[in-house]
Amino acid sequence: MSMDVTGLPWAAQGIGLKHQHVAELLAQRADVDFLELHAENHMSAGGPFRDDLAAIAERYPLSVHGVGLSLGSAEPLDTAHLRRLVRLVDELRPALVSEHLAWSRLQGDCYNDLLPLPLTEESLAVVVRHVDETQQALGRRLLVENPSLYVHLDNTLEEADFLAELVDRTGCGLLLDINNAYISAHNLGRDLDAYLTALPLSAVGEFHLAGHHLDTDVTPPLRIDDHGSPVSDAVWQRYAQLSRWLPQVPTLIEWDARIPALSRWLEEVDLARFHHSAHRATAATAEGGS
Amino acid sequence: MTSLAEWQHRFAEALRAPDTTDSGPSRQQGFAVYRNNVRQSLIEALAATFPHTRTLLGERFFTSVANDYARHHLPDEPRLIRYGYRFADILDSLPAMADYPYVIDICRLERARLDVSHAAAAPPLDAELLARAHDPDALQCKPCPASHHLIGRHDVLDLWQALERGEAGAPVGARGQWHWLLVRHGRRVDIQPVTPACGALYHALEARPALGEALAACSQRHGQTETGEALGTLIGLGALMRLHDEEALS
Repeated sequence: MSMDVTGLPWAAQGIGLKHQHVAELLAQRADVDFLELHAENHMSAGGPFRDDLAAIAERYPLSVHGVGLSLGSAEPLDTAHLRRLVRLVDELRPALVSEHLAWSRLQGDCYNDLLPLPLTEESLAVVVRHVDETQQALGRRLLVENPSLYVHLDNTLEEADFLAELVDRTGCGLLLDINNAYISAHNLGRDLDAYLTALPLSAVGEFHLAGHHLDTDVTPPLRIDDHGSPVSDAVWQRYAQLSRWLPQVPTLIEWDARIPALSRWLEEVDLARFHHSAHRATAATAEGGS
Repeated sequence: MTSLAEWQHRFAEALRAPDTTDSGPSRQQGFAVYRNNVRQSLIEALAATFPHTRTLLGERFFTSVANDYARHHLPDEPRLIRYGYRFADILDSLPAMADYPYVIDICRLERARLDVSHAAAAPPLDAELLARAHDPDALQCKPCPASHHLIGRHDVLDLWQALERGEAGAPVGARGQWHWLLVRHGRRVDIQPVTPACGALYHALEARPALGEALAACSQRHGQTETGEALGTLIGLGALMRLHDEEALS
């Protein structure tokens, strides 16, 4: 499958689309390159939210981020849900479409979380089949996001190797969530540098950044993804490093809980631009020339 | 069953049963994060769907009931706006609700309002079309997707309006059988009290879109006058849509 052209600018910066910001986003063009929406929140047949989304789509490039396809379920994909995703993507023609290396559905029940799966040859075959099926239905490349982990799994494959094989066999891209990678490395005692360098970085089509907190009520303390706080300094540092390697990749700042005012969220975008290598290179050139 | 399927069954079982003795990932302390994420996200989804019910019940009691609901009723699909269809029934079955039965009506109105708000749009049946029809009885029509008829047990519309204004409560009206019609107009879902005949005609048209047959079925119980008025109300509120109406036009 050929790489699709996203149409986003070099080093694009985006934020999530939340209904409380829609009026503001429509009243005045915000200083962001794209907006990312959770697919499942926009699969209604009609109504004001759908009308708002159509208006937003006329003004901003979009990214559709699915959270409910359950690519890692041992059972077949929910074809009704896949059809809904295809319909949404066909309508919006987003720059990016992504899902997760996770599962949430079992025998008709949806667990409404991104549950982890053991990384084995069998799991790889399942996820490859489901990614193939999804890309076939969408007619375009899917980005698959690395998980944030809180438990050791019964793995026979390293996560980076699993993702590299997935990319190789399906032609999918990766959504590299730097916050998730940082959280998993801390919670599982994983070497983050080794993990990042083992990933097929050329397949990364988007970065995610988000906040997390440290739960010190447990021993040893766990880092917990919360999408409800600013990006941590440690994650910014990794972002600066990765954006040197992959300067063109779009970045999305997630914020799904305790959602701030749009202006506060845009401050986080400014921070992302500050930490991005392109900004540093420009600043260095300016300093050198003065 | 494959080993991945078995593994996921064990994982899911442990999510639902806190006292599991499974030897897998659920024995690790980090497993509680997944259990908490599932439970908390569903409680939040219910709170988002039923904000007025939450106001009336209070945060603690609502969360307790929602927690119990989430434990026993997982969503059957990933769209969370479709979660909580049995919540009002579960509330209704609780002995603690005996003194607050009107809350069940508010809860059902909230569920219906959300459905109407997200339903497909359709052009409403025009009264002029009916007037111009060569054979009005042959006209095919049905309720608009963005509409819903509901029967309540208490007159709670004043309370509903107060809650919509952000007030904590208002006097509840009389007990009885109250018919309401919810119809979306633009961005707003309007709730109107209607007659029992109106409700009967609405459901008759759901079952048989031939207007003449639906009117006849409704008239048998409510009489021709009330049925005629009901049709006027449904059209006036924009609750009906055309369906294969070309052949009825002269």
